[in-house]
This record gives sequence, C-alpha cells and structure tokens, in this order.
Amino acid sequence: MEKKLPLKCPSCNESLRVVKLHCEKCETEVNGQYELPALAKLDLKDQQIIIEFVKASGSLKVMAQQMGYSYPTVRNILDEIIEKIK
Amino acid sequence: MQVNKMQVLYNPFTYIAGIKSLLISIVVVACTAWLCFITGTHNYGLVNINFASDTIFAVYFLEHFIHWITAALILFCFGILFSKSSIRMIDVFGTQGIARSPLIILPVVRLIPAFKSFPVNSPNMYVLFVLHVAMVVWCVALMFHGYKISCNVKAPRLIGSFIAGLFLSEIVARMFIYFLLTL
Repeated sequence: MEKKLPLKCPSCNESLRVVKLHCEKCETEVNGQYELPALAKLDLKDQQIIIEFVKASGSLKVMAQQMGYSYPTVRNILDEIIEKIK
Repeated sequence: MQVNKMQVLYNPFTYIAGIKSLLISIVVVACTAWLCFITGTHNYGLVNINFASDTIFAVYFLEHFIHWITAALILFCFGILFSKSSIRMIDVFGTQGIARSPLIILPVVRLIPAFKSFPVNSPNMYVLFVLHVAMVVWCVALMFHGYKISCNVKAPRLIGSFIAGLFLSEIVARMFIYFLLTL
C-alpha cells in the first residue's frame, strides 16, 4: 500500500511541518522545524497535474490533448493550483 | 479518460472548446437557421419565438447569428472584467455557439405536419410552448456552463454577471433584429 503524505493535522486541521528526517542507511536523525516545499503541500491529484504540465513542456494545448479535456478546462485547473500555491 | 455521458448533455465544454467548438457552432447556427427557414420559425432573441414563413433565409440566419454573437461578445467582456484567468475569445464564442444546440429541436418538431400549422390555443400550440420552454432552460444551462468554463469567473460574480449578460444580450440582440426587420 502506498503511504499518503499527511498535509493537515487530523486533530485540528492545521498545516503540518516536518520535524524529523531519518537516514535509513546510517540511522542518522535530524530534528528541527522545516516547512514543506510548496509543491509538496498540494494534494496528489494536483501534483500529478504539475507533472503532466512539465511533461507537456508547459504547453496547455498539448496537456489538454493528452488529458482529453478542453483547453479552458485545463487552464482553469492550473489557475486553481496557482491560487493554492500563492 | 472516462467521458461522463450525462455531463456531456449539460456541460460538454469540459471536453470541447477552441476552434473545434467554433466550427461546430457555425454548423449548429446554420442548420438551426435553415430548419427555421423551412418551417417558418422566427427566434427574436432567446425567449421570443414567432411562427411565420414570410421572408428569405438570410433573415432567419441573421436572427440566430446576431443573438449568438451578441451573447458571446457581452459574456466575453464580462469575462475580461471579472476573471483572473487569461481567457480566449475563441472559447467563449465556441461554447456559446454550441450552447444554442437545443434550439434546433423546436424547428425539427415543426417538420411534423401536425405542428406546421395549427389553430391558436390548440393542444399542439401548448406542446410546442412547453417544448420551447424546456429547450430554452437547457440552452441557458449550457450557456452558463460555457461561460463558467471559458471565462473562469468565480462566485459570487459568476451568477450575477451571467444573468446580467443574458438579459443584456437579449435586449441588444432584439434591438439589432428589430433594426434588421425594418430594413
């Protein structure tokens, strides 16, 4: 089963932060307060859209063809992601 | 990708826009105008219809063409005013043209001899009236989804600007059509 990165606190719904990083090889652990990167804060569906956008070399037209949606539909999806990143 | 067939009936614009929708729009408007011409069905704007075989094909075509262009142009202007997205004129005109597809059904029904000519207040007249109302509602729903997708206007401006655009286009289109008929 693929584990899903939790973005919101299951208790109070606030955004979660990284406080611990772990090296599987040498068992080193790093503790601190780290902000998640902007793209990592998006849900998996939005991250997949970003990947498709990059794969299509940033062309909404190509992306729309690949996804089977109309151009304005894809543009609107991306605009929503832009709003989330802002 | 799985295409939702029910969604295509009330919102095909998730899948169709751009040049494809513009070409379909031209075919839709031309076919509707041709059927209106051979059945004598006038559309003065979206709501008002009249049955009379009294003029040339160009007038029937212009009635549909004027309303399509007027509605699309006004909604495009509202899109520029109220949307944060970079909208394309071709999408607005294409989606608004396809949204007129339900208007083809009434003249098709009028090809049936019983609906070609009938007395005033006859059951046939009421059947056509109910059908017309249903087709206008369907048309408005399609126009709304076309506006929503092609212009990406968000609530609360979305519904207000659409209703204002619809009323404004109805008034402006009727003025143009009235001017056309007086020529």
